[in-house]
Amino acid sequence: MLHYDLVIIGGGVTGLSAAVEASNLKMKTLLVEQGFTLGGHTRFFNEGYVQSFVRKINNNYVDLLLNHSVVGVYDDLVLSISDGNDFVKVQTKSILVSTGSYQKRISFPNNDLPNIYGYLTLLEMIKLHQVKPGNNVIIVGDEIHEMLIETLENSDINIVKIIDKTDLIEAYGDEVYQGITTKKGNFQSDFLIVSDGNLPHNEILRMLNCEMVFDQEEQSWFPKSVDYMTSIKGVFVAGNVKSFKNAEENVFDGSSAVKAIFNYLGEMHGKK
Amino acid sequence: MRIKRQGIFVFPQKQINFTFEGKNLSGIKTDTIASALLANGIFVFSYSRKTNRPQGYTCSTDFCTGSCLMTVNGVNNVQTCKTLLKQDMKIERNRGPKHVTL
Repeated sequence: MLHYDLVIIGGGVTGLSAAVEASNLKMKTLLVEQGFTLGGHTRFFNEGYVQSFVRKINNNYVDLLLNHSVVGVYDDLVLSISDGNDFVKVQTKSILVSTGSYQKRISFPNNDLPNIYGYLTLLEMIKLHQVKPGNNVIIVGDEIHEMLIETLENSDINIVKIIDKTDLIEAYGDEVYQGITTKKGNFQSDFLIVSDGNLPHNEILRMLNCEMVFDQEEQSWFPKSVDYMTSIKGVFVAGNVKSFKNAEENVFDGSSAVKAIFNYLGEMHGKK
Repeated sequence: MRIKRQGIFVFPQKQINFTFEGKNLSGIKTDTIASALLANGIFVFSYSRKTNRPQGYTCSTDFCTGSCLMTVNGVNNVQTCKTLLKQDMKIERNRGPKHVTL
C-alpha cells in the first residue's frame, strides 16, 4: 500500500493549484486524474493558464497519476485507484475532493442519438483535436456560454437556430440525428448541441456518506463544509464540487484548501 | 471533418493509418481514437445492449456513459475517448452478447 499526506482527486484547475500549494508546503501528494490531460474544463477556455500551474508543480513532492479513476474510497482514508488494468491502494492522511462538474443533459425523446453533443464535448473536439462533426448546428438550452458561440464562428460552423428547451418536442433521425421537432416547426442541422449548464460531480462524496445540502438556485446537491472540511474527518472539498465559481476563484479555493489541510495535519500529527 | 484555420499556421501533423471495420482510414498524431473516427465521419460508435439503439460520442472525458466503448486490437470495451491513436490499430464496434427481447 502506498502512503501519502494528501490525495487530490481531480486534476482540474482547482486540483492543480492545490498541487502547486502542496509542493510549496512540501507535502507528499498524489494527484489523480481520470482523463489523460490535466486542466479539466479550463483547458478548453484558457490553455496557457493551465500550463502555468503544471509548470509550477514540484515533482519531488507531487506524484501525478493520469488516466486513473478512484473506484473506492473509505472513511478511514483508504482509496483504491484503477485504470482497468492495474490497481493501486493508497493510505493517506487527508483527501481533497476537487472533482468539479459535468455537463447537464436535457431529457427529450431520442436524446441518445449519435450527433447530439454536450457543449463541453464539442469544445473538446474543436479545441483539442480540430475536428467538427458538421457545418451547421442547432443549440438547445438555457445557459449558452459566449465562448461556445465564438468558437463555433471561428471554425466556420453556421448556427441555424438557438432553441429554448421548453419549445423542444423531440429529435428525429434513423441511425444518426437529422433534425428536431419543436412547437414552432421542424428544423434540420448536421448536429445538435445541448448547452444547459453543469452539475457537480459528487459521487465520491456520496460514497463517503457526506452530509449534503440541496441548493434551490442551482437545483443540485452540495456538501456541507466548515473551513473546507466536510462532515467526514480528513476529507476536504474545493472548487466547483463545493459551489459553482469561475476559474480564478477556483484557483484561490484550491490553494486555501491545502493551507487548511496543512493546519489540520499539523494539529493532528504534530507540527512538521 | 478537420477545421481549416485561415491565417493560423498549423504544424504539419504526422499521419497515422488505422482500420475501422475493415476500412482503411487515417488520423493525426494528437488524435484519440474517438476524434479520429469523428474526423472520418463515423458517428455511430456502438449499439446499446438492450434495445440495440445506435449510440454516439456524448460524454467526452466527462461523466462516462459508456457509449464510446469499442473493440481495439481484439480487446473489448476500450474507452476510445481516452485512448490515443496508434499506427495500424484495428478498431471495430463491440460484438458482445445482446440482451434477448422475448
